[in-house]
Amino acid sequence: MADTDPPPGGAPNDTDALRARVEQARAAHARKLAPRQDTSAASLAMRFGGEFGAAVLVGAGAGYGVDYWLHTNPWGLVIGLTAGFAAGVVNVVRVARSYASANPVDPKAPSVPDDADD
Amino acid sequence: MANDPMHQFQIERFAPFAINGIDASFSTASLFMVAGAGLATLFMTRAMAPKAMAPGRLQVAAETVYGFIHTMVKDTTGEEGVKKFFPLVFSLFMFILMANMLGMFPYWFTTTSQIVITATLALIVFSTVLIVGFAKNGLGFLKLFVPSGVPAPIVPFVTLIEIISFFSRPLSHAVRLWANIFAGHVLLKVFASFVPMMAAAGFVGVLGSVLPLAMTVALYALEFLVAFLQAYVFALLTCIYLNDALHPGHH
Amino acid sequence: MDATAAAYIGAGLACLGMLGAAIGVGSIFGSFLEGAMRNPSAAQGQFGNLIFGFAVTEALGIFSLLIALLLLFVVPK
Repeated sequence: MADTDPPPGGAPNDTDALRARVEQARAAHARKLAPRQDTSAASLAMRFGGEFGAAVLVGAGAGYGVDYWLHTNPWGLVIGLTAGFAAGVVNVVRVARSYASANPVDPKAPSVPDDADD
Repeated sequence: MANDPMHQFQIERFAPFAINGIDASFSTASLFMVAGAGLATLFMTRAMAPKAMAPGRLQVAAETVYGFIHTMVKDTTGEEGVKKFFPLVFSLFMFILMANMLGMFPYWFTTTSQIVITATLALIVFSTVLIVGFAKNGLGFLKLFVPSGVPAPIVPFVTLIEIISFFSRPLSHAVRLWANIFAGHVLLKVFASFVPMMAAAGFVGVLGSVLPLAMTVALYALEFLVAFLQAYVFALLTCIYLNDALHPGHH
Repeated sequence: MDATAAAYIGAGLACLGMLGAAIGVGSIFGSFLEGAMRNPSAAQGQFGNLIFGFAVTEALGIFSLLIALLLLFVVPK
């Protein structure tokens, strides 16, 4: 971590060593205190739904707007809604990725070979 | 209507006032926005007034909040982000937190339960991203919409999707805060109104009304969590979006 | 029946198509969870397939939404 390094120039003395230790302890403490992002499954589900729905709405709205101004009925709406849907899927994938990287799978999780319990 | 769960969201105009037909009266919403901003300012200035080496309780609270947001901004946007955006993110967080917490008082108005207000906050963030992005990167900001490593034939399609995804952000940003607070307060009101309804039904009803009362108390605790968590999530997503303004092209 | 009323009724009927998408999405995530519970360490690897299945299924729901929106906003009344 960059801020645990002693300041450049000047021999590291006791104060610097103490500062480094304080920084280290603080960082460790902060990591322990940092709230897990989106702790409840319900809020995660709401985020998924919100991101997906927002993209679909924006896509359809933009398509409808294009139709309205350029008189391209109904192609703006069709393309806008399709693209909005795709953008929604992209949004959901991004949220899921960030959630998965923040909550990695336990490597010691049991792996049952298929049909082992049938 | 005492039992109407929507009654709490009604806005009263204290001083009717309009500019060019646009309603700009000082209303309940304005009052509680001023109160929220004032409370945040008062809290920070009062708490930090002693500037003590060995801080008192209030100062510890203020320093904890400050450090909490500082760490979050640093982790998501880096040192440069802290320099540029920390005041904005911290103000947003404190304002939303105070507005949510003021709304937890019975009979008080919750400003964040109005989509106009959350949308305004989200648009502030969105326009900051646009302005800072173009000011810092020039047209290079548009790289945000053209991901690298995409085969040339599908670039227009991907760009269209990225643009829609980008413009869907303020919507989901605003709706998330609004929907959480709004739904929570409606739920609270509905469960709370069960209590007098049941109690009016005689002795058994009075005994039974303990159940919705307990539910209301439990929901109240949950709403305090939601009030804090939504302020935090709003600030966190603000940081993530602002990071795009600083570093377009890194997803 | 005049054309406007017919368009509105049609839009409502078109929305029923989303019922199928709802069942499909539920089935996909349900099956994914079932598999992931059996073999959690392999679940991450199937994330792409999950999203692909979700996208294809939900696309059919979006088609019916599209028909509903077309009936509501585009078909001249």
